[in-house]
Amino acid sequence: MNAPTDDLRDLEDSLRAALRADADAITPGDRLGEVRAAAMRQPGQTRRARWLTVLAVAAAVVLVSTLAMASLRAGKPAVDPAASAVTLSSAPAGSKTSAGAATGASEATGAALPVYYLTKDPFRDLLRLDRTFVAPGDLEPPLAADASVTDRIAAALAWPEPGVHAGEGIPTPTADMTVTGVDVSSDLITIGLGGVSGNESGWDETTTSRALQQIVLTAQAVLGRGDIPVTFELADGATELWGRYAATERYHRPSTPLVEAMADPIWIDRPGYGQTVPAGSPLTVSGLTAETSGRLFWQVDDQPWQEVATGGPAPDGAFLPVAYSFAVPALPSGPHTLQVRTADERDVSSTRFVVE
Amino acid sequence: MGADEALAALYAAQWAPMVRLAWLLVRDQGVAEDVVQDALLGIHRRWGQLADKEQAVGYLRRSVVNACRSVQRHRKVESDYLAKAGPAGRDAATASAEELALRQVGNAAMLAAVERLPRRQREVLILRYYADLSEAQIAETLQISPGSVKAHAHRGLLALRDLVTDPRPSREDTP
Repeated sequence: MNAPTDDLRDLEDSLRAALRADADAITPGDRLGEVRAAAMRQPGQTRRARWLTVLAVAAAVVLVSTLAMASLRAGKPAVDPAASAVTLSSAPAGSKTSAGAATGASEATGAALPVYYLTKDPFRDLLRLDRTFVAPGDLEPPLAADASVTDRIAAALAWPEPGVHAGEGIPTPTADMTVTGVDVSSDLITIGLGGVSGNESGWDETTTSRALQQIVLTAQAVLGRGDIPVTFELADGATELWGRYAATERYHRPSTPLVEAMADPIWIDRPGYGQTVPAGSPLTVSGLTAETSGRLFWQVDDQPWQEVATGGPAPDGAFLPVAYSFAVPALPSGPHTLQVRTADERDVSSTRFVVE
Repeated sequence: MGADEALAALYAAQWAPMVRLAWLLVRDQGVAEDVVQDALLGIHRRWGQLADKEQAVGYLRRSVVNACRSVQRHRKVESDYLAKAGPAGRDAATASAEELALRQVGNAAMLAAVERLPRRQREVLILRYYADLSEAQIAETLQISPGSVKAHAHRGLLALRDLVTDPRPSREDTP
């Protein structure tokens, strides 16, 4: 810590005493029995199945990485637009969920800005993508309600503030990135970027791949257009991002690498966190999951859990993100909590929204 | 050490301090206990995958802080709605504020000021001055750089000094 001045030393002493007294004023309850019971409810068979899933996903990732490397060596983009579209729109088989629905769209009134960022999984030492939602007023500086598309995407990609996630092994390939402009047509998002053409820091392929996914996912989500690809115009006339990915290529929402990249096995894309949805109408919930059992359950507030009709387990060997979607009957006005979990309750995601 | 033994050991050593840490962050004992229970079960669930089991306490602390942050985000959505919802909403918010006002009078101003700090500064100060963590440990817990810890701590103390001497009625949170 910085060496405090005398008045700050007094403040530190007072702060320490106040926090200590406040914390000591509570007596934590005894939950050892409850904790043990909950731990015991995790049956060995399920645990083994989970291990098998992890191993299978790892194996699939190796295969995907190998294919991606081969693709790059051949001068082709690692992300195959056609494969992405098929993955998101056809899994589960027979689903009519479109890739467009699978976004953390923020275009709705009152929705927070969806933000994807790099994080590190402490359990597996993997670089992954996590997502959160940031209220425009909470950004520094706050984002105006009538901010341009360029400003919205730039703000989402600049969060958290530069340097906050630096260090501790989390790379920052977008630290010097600037968004110079965004153009959206009916079938393409074009983003002008600066500061990403070189790779002086020597970011490895996993890092730059995640960063590319971060940009594509964020842009699509901010615009609510997961159904159209993203391409780039680099400010300095360069032709490749980080010397690896052709700027003029059309990048869809990533598919195969995303399973390994997802920090959370279940993403709830819609409704967006903090979104206001109209009263009197059923609510369509959609998202993406890396859960391969094919069984998801949802709950609103304290109502009973209901199973999501996902169409069953993913096809053999298809360790891909699976789009899911279901309808929630019209809810009363007010704030609500929505949770989606796996059958074994090991993974749960939640979001909050307001009906009015 | 197996997962069950690790769970028992972590509970014995960390339950009370982690609940108290969570309490400082979320101001609700029941929620604080839920958060720590979930974090313990998360460690138990993934024990076999934990790359460095010596770091279990660090992972537990990080899980607790992250979960508290999620709780705070949830509350913000609700409080935003209540703020817009008119008199009934304001009554509910007032009741909650009154509960907070029952804190010890001697430390009330300091604690109220801490509550009003931006989230990151609040987390850094609580981890530093309650949990007595080092700069490196705070950086690890919050997944930020040691330089950011320094900056947030210094800014937080300066802001705290101003707030204690010039209190205002409400705090703007950050996610």
